[in-house]
Amino acid sequence: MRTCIITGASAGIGRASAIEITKLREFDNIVIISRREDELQVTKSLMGKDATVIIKPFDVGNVEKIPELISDIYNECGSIDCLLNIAGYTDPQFLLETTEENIYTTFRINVFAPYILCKECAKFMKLNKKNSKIVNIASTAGSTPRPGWSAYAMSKAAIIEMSLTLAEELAPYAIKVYCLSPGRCATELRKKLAPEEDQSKIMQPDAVGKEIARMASDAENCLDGQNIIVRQK
Amino acid sequence: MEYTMILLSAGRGVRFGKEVPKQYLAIAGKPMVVHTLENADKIQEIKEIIVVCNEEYFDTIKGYITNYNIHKKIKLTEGGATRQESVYKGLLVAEYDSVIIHEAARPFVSVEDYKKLIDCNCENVTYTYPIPYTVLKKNEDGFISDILKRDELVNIQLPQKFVKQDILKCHEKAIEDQQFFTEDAGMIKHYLDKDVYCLKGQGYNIKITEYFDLLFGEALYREIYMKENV
Repeated sequence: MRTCIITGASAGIGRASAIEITKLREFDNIVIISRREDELQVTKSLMGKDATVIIKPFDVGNVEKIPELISDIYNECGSIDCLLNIAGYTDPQFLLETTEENIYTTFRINVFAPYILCKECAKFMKLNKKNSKIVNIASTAGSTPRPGWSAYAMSKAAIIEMSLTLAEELAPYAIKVYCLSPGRCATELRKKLAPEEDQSKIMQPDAVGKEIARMASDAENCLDGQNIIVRQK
Repeated sequence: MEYTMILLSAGRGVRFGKEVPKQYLAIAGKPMVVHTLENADKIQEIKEIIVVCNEEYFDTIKGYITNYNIHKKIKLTEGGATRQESVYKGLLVAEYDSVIIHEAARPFVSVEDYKKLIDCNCENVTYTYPIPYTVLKKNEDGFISDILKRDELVNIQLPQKFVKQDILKCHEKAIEDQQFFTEDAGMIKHYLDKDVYCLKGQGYNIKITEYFDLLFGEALYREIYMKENV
């Protein structure tokens, strides 16, 4: 039995990835995680019948509860083979206006949660006979400056470096770690960063979802340990 | 065959010159002793691991077992004043009839290396490695006294495997005779005159003894383990 865990699966890139991952037919169980159970139900309805879909309503901001969540998933599914760290947060503010709370919340959801998810999943992934995979979603904002986005940009820069380091640390366990940085993409989060933008003219979540599924697939073997930019020119 | 593994981790790292014993220093980000615990955890024939270490490190080892999700049955035993005494203390609590003796300062032994040792038909076996340089004998006055034949010599590598009763008997005799040995295969030959088979070891199975070995070890690990397993 092979299991894939997807955070942020209630919308945008997370939902698109859940749909594309199901099409791979490489996972028996797909665990979809988000705060919003009703939206997870919608995601599930779009995922088809090629895997058992398990809905876990959970706020990844509750970092201290992540070990229990992952342990429960392992006990329920029997293995953890793939983790897609997609859940994200932003509240763009200029430095002179921002608050401690904003930077803490951004880092809690965008950095600490995926980091602890990697840690807890790796404990079980190291027991697997086959390759396991972790795909962390960063952003082009993590490597290119934009005024007003400092908290988000810092958090995504952290994800890039975290992914590159973990790719080396976890390689001896046959755990491949990927870092995917989408450019502007039509998501709810993007609306907060660029509210005036016409989302019909930019990259759509399903394009990113397809790339994430490619990285999660057994067939992919060469893209780990590097910051891969996915951007519509 | 079922084995007890005795993992020697009580060294104080005097030659290493650091406050923390070398087996607790990191190679590729992980404490040296964890590399061995993780690989031994994958060997079905090893039923228990006795970590012989100083009592002040019991909690450290327990922490590693939890954090690195080690499933094997682990026993912690206080080390002795010498390496020989540490092995003896481990033997006294070993449950199984065959033992594998290993030391934490050799972190690069692969799962295949352990399997090869276990699968070897002989009862008492040690890994050895050819000596690539000339070895001469020196007298007490500091002058060369004899030429040793390189082809007749081997460099002992751990792990080794023994019949528990054989090696236990040797240790008891050594205590009686107040004899000190720096490894165990020689004791079997010396006290029981039994054969110890020499399995050819690996060049990468280095013993981390000095600070430079740690630097060398990082490079070895990167080359062997980080490329091999993915």
